[in-house]
Amino acid sequence: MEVHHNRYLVALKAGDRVILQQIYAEFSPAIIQLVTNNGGSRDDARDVFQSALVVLYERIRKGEVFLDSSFGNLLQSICQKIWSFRKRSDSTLKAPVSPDDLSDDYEEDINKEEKNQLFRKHLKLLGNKCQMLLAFFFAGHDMDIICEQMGYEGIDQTIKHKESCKNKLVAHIKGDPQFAVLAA
Amino acid sequence: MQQQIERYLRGEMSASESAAFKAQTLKDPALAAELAFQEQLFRELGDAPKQQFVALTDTIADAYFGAPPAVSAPTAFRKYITPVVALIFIGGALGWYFSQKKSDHLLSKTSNSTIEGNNTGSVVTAPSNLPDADTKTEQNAGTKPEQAVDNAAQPTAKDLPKTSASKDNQSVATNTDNRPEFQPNAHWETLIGKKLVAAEYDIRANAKMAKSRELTFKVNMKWPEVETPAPMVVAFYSNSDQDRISQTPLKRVTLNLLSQVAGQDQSGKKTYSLDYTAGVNWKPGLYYYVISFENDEKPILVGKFQ
Repeated sequence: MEVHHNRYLVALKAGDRVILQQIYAEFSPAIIQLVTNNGGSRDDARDVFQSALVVLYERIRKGEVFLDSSFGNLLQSICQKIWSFRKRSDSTLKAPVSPDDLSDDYEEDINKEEKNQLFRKHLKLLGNKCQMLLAFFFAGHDMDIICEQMGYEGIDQTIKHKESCKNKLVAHIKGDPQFAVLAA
Repeated sequence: MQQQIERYLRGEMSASESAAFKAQTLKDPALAAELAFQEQLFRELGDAPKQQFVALTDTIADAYFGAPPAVSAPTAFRKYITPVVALIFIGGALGWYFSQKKSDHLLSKTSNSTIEGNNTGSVVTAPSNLPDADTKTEQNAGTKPEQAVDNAAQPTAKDLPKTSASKDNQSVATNTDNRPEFQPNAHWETLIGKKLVAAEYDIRANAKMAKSRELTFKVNMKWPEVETPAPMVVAFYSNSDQDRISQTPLKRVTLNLLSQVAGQDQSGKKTYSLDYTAGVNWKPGLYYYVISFENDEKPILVGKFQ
């Protein structure tokens, strides 16, 4: 698979804020309409749109995006797929017809990204210190570095804080009804 | 089990330990499932570039979808505590009413809006503070035409020995605002006012916010005559630790100082003066600027403004 030299895809990979703003300006209204016309809220549309961009971002990093239609069509298709996916877990939601033109392996990416979004959502619920500590920890930094950065007294205290923060995070994630649905 | 999984995922096991652990997961479905879960957690939350990208989309999304609602503590907590507290409140109010009898001021509020978790659920990056500008590297416009910089002859940051702290003009009004976006960042605060370059180099900066929320940034430097400053950048950060750790500045500007030679002082040092106006609308909050040499993360000057 090759990366199509579309400026939007390039901008996604580079994290180009200006082009990303253009993407939001140009393509988010259609997604807001798609989701809100099918039983969702504006916040749902926000999540769906972000998930779709992240899915594309991950694919671009791996060099696995091929555009045979426009960027907008691809983004819309992924959003539709995500909304259909969410509909499975909530019978009150209506889902548009799932697009046929999206390749099957997007489904796996979407499933993974839905879980990732859940992880991020619950990380945000932790206090700032926990968020910072876990950011260091998951990035693989040594405990002595984390101890120094966080200003703790010693490694033991650092480990204690880490365990407390991580246990809270894991408990919140696993306690979320959405987790059980995604794990199924 | 958790400790083993963490050691495995962080690469802290020896090759044989790792192989044995992996073999164990093949026989134990519960262990395998937990490993898969933790692996995805590590991969996702340890992926700094991706988290930066997500944070960036969060900030942009506010403008198109509105800021997300404040998220409270896990639903189970609210589900049980909220009605209990409401009942206590109602009971107390009724008790007060009957004891007063003739009073008209019946407390009828049964609002449970105060029941929240220990945080607002907001991302550490404080997206509502972000100015409406891109974070791409920009060339400083200044008032003089830019000149090419011959990097081969430039001293790098590594050439400059660290010195002890000395004064620097980093004035900012004392902030008594308790809002999160105004809270000082402990890491940057320890660097403010410290001289992070050798004694023979002098660098000062000042950031001033106009009422229009336009920022004027000034840099003044003195450099030994025989040397020319290496290319520098100034990065503007919010007060959040997440932005700092993930190295996600709100704006990053290359300071093209060669074109800003102001003259020479009495000791023969070359002086440089540079004004930069950031034509963006900075939302109220506390911000930090960090000057460093290009391609070197180590700060040579840190200041703040709000």
